[in-house]
Amino acid sequence: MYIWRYEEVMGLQIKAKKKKGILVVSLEGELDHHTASQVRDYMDNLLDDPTIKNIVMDIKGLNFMDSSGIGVLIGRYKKISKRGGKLGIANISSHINRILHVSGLYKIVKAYDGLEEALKDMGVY
Amino acid sequence: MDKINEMRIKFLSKSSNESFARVTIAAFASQMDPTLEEITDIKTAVSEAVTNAIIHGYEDSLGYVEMTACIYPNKLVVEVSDKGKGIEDIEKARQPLYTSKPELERSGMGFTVMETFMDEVEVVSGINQGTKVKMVKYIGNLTGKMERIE
Repeated sequence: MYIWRYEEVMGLQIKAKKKKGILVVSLEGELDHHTASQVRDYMDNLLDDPTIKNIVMDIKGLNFMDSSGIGVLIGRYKKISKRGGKLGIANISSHINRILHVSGLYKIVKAYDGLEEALKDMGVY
Repeated sequence: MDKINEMRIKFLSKSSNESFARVTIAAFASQMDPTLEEITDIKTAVSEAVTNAIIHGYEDSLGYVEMTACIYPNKLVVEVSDKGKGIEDIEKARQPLYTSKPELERSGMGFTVMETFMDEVEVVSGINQGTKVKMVKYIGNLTGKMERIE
């Protein structure tokens, strides 16, 4: 496992690593319309790598998200599902859980209590 | 019912002001002694309304977004308004998943999120006259809860 890239925009920190075909993206801070485009560009750049099969978003440090975040998640889901992959989200707070729920996002993404559980489910161990 | 406090701010329709609006409303509402969940609900709804004003109201141009908030004994009333292009069909705009800007990866969930997190959401809009979103949140005291049940 290695840290791939590290980027910080106003109010949001993004980190990513690749582990056995899984792109693990950690978000810390606030995901709104202002920071959404950075997450989108950052992830799409990494997704150019065809060996990435699945995505796990670790949002443990994400203390705010609105519907702009939903747009970002749906967009990345569409990309990864085109190559037969899955999108998982780990460490969802109760506030973000409500937004994911009302948006119907749980129909397309899977929630995990922790990052290890997500990686295990996607066949890393 | 008597107004206890009121504030009014005006800021440019720049996306960096979305977090500014959230922090401001949270600071103002904190004098009502709300729960952390109530504060997060209000911040989220305000974020949606301000984002709509920036993306849809003014699109690529710059204009002013105005936010007012009034504290009453049992509720917080927040209004977010712009003088932008207005909404053609409010009913359609409020539908879950409807977006006029799918190319921007908008989820179309803005109004649904506002309705989920606030107790009342009212939208007034006119073509080229701007849009005003009025939202009410009853803050957890008994009076507020009683009124909500009625």
